[in-house]
Amino acid sequence: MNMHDLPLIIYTLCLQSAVGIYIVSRMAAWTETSKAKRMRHLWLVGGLGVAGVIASALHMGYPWNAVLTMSNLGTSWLSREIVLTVSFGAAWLIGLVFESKEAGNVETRNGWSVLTSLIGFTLVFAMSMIYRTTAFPAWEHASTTFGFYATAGLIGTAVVFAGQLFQKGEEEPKALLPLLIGGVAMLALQMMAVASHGAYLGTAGPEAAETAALIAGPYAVLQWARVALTAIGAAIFMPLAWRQWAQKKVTSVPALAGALIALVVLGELAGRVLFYASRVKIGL
Amino acid sequence: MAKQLGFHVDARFCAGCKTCQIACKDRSSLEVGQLFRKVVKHEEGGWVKQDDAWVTNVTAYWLSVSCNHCENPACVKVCPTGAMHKRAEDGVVMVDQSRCVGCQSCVWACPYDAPQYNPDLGKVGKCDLCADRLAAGQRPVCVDACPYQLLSFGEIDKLEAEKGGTAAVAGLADPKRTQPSLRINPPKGAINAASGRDLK
Ligand code: SF4
Ligand code: SF4
Repeated sequence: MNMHDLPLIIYTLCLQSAVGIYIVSRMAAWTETSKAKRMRHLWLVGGLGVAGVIASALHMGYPWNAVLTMSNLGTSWLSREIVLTVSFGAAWLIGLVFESKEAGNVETRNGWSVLTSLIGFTLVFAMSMIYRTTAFPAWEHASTTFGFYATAGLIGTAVVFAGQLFQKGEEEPKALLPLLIGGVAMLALQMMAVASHGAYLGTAGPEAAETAALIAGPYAVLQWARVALTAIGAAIFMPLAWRQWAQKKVTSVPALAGALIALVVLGELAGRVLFYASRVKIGL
Repeated sequence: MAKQLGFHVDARFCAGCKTCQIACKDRSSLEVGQLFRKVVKHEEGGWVKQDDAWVTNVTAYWLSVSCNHCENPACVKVCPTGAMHKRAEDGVVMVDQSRCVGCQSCVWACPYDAPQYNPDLGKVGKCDLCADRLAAGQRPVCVDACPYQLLSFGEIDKLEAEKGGTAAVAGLADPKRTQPSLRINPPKGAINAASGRDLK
């Protein structure tokens, strides 16, 4: 792995996780009225966002000019991504203040979270377009966009599902079944992205063929790790945790929930390392 | 169409001496690992069956390539700061280093490896067609340096009318990507044709 890619791996994973956790947690908290339940996961979203932005600054060779990076909104997806990152952060912060002060009614705060979610959703799209407008054929495909959304959705559902199970001393955790269905759907989306990317690589010229050879050869372990870990997490551990909880075998549930997060996050990390490591550029 | 400057390279006779590459590197005082003009070798071919015989179609040649001051420059589109820009009066693509943030988006987008990241500055530099020499009525240093005088520069339409050439040469990106202001008189075997060679 090229160490110069590390800031981008951290930035994309953190921000996609932040968006995924935000959107899924707002859905889970939609009908909640208590402050504690509505605040759940919000600090985690902020922490991931801050970690991602710090990492992204490390990627720039001359970060003192960072303020100029929003100057080319007309054609640069990086400019758009930066504006959307700042907007998502600002909207998150305002939402956090609303929730902590219990400002307005629940409907107003839900409305704000819809707006924030839309910004986050657009941010993930902009992030993917940065990669789709390079001279790396392996990235110039719709599977980059679907893959990024699947990452956000998988980590979002896994973390919120596990978070519901970690709650102690309250009434029964809510929305577990919809979260489980959502998690499996996101896994299916990720697998679709992996498969369509593989098919595309065979049709996109010699550099894409080199990427395919890297994925099948030296980096095969990363591809298998990504597929196996996310599948075991979302398609085995998630239903298992749900079943244990439904059967009131609660002692094993926190361990399963923790393992679920670890598996999905590690699987997505392997996929992202592979994404960068297997790129081959059109050049001289 | 507005005036568009570019390069013509008569690659049929290029010996790969790299004088243009070195003259450019010297003028811009580039460190090891950075080149604004590169002379690259392209090799391809192998044994092919022809009727009852096996024959070789091996070919190899040199290509001297810098920034092509593309009509549709991918580097300018992706640059978030506007540091990478296309000069209106002559189509030269330049980087204003005072605005560059060193994100390397241009490096990722250019299919000719033209923008070069300078780790000491944390910024990108590239061929500006020797803008200062042009302003002084001189030719770019690579054009002056070629001992065989195979490089030319000028308005790309006039160069093409006078010398012919194409940018669709095996070993280079598909010109549809960025519409490079580059014309090459290709060596034998270099034209991408139905023979099966792929443009990138
Ligand atoms: S050759 Fe590359 S750097 Fe030069 S104008 Fe074209 S895309 Fe930009
Ligand atoms: S490295 Fe500099 S010139 Fe290149 S895209 Fe980034 S800001 Fe623009």
